[in-house]
Amino acid sequence: MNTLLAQRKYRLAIRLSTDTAKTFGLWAAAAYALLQAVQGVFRVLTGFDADYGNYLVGFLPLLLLAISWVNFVKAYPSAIGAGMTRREFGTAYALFSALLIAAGFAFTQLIVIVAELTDSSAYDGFYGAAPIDALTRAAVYVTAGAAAGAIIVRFDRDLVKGTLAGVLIAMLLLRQIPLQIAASEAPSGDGDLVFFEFPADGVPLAPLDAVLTVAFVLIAWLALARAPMPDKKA
Amino acid sequence: MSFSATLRDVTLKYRDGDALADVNLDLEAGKIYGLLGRNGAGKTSLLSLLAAFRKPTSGEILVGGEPVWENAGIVSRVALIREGGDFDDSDTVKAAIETGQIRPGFDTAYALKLAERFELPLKKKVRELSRGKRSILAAICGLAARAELTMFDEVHLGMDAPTRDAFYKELLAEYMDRPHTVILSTHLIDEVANYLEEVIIVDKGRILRHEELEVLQDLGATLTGPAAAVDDVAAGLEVLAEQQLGGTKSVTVAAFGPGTRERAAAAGLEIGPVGLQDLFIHLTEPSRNGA
Repeated sequence: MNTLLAQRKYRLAIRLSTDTAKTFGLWAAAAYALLQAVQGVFRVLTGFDADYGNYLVGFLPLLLLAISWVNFVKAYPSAIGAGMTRREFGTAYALFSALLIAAGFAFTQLIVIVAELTDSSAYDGFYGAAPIDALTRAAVYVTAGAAAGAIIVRFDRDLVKGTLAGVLIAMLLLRQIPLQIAASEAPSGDGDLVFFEFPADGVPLAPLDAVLTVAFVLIAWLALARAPMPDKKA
Repeated sequence: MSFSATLRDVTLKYRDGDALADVNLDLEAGKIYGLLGRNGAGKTSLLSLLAAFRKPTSGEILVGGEPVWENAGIVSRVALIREGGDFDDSDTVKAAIETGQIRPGFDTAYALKLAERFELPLKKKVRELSRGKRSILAAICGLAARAELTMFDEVHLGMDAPTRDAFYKELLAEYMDRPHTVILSTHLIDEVANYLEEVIIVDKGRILRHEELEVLQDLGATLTGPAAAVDDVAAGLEVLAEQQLGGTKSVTVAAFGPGTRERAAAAGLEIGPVGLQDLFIHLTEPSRNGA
């Protein structure tokens, strides 16, 4: 009985991972295969050598964020209702998140490697193409999803939880702007107009994402620590 | 082993007021309790605290002698089944049942046996179930949890009368087979009264009464007999309910003392126990509690 109790957080992590792999994982793989097929047909018919895989690489972080957010909000009531503690759920979700980050990293790298094999230059300068970028990018979006999910379950009032989750996501999506402005206004900067492009030159996104990842993990953990069970709608 | 439960000076505040205020309560292990209260009285809040679904604003909650909050060894053996259950609606019924395996004591075979008996479609999604079937799924998961403290909060809602009866019988059979602590929170008071050993009445966030069922029922009586004789004995007493059929009358009265009992017996009236529901209505009457 004690072993079962000690291992249940791992079983929950495996269950969440398996369910995600069987749904979103298969859909992403199918979407990639479809894009490759369309790309191949276009190449044969028109000679146009496009790489549509970059659409997937571009949308992958948002997909990871959505998976992480939705899974948190759905799994939390089931787990607490079935007699789990928040600490156990947090550990299970951390393991699931680690696997999700690894899957996001592996998927991005797969697309980049396949593109390189076909001599595509579509990922030159693309944030997320280099291995370290692929890792930090996946990590920051997955943990942002978990933090947003934790905020949703932590607060009762729709206005509060909606605003806080919105601020968190805005922080994530606009994260490079303060750095761009700071870089421009620094003594070594040109002090000129700032053109927002993504990724911006001179903005170290990978370290920034690593820092934000730690911040989002802390937010998720703090929100989860006192999170109540969501009320049942009357 | 079944769990006792203790609340010491427990307060739970929401932003619009106190759900519970300075609640003290001791529940012995191995009994079936009825938790009664009007809408918004604090029943669900009380159960949520016992299941560590919420943290109290202040006070101490012990289950099985240990603090319940974030205590895996305890909460894994406490089950609070809320109306409709806490399921992932996109799961199939079978998957929802298997989610119960998070509890080390969960009896999947028993749950599947009950699912077959109550004709639950295992392959259907939870969101596709009718309200009644969803309530049955929740009740099944509660029974199969094999918890040491099991609480059912209005879980019968949507069930038809035969299903409710079958559920209560199954609950009793499970209780006889494996003694544990059960708390039933319900508005169908007379329907569960026969199963209860003790009754807790919550009113406006406080414990109004916590008594054995018999003690509570002795607070009043039902007098049945010729209308004139009944009216004579009941004169001056607080009448909670009355019915008349032809010349025969039946009244439920509160504060039924020994003297009145002797007069009623002398008048040849039949003296029965007071209905729990009538008593509950009387005890929680707003005018009675200064509301």
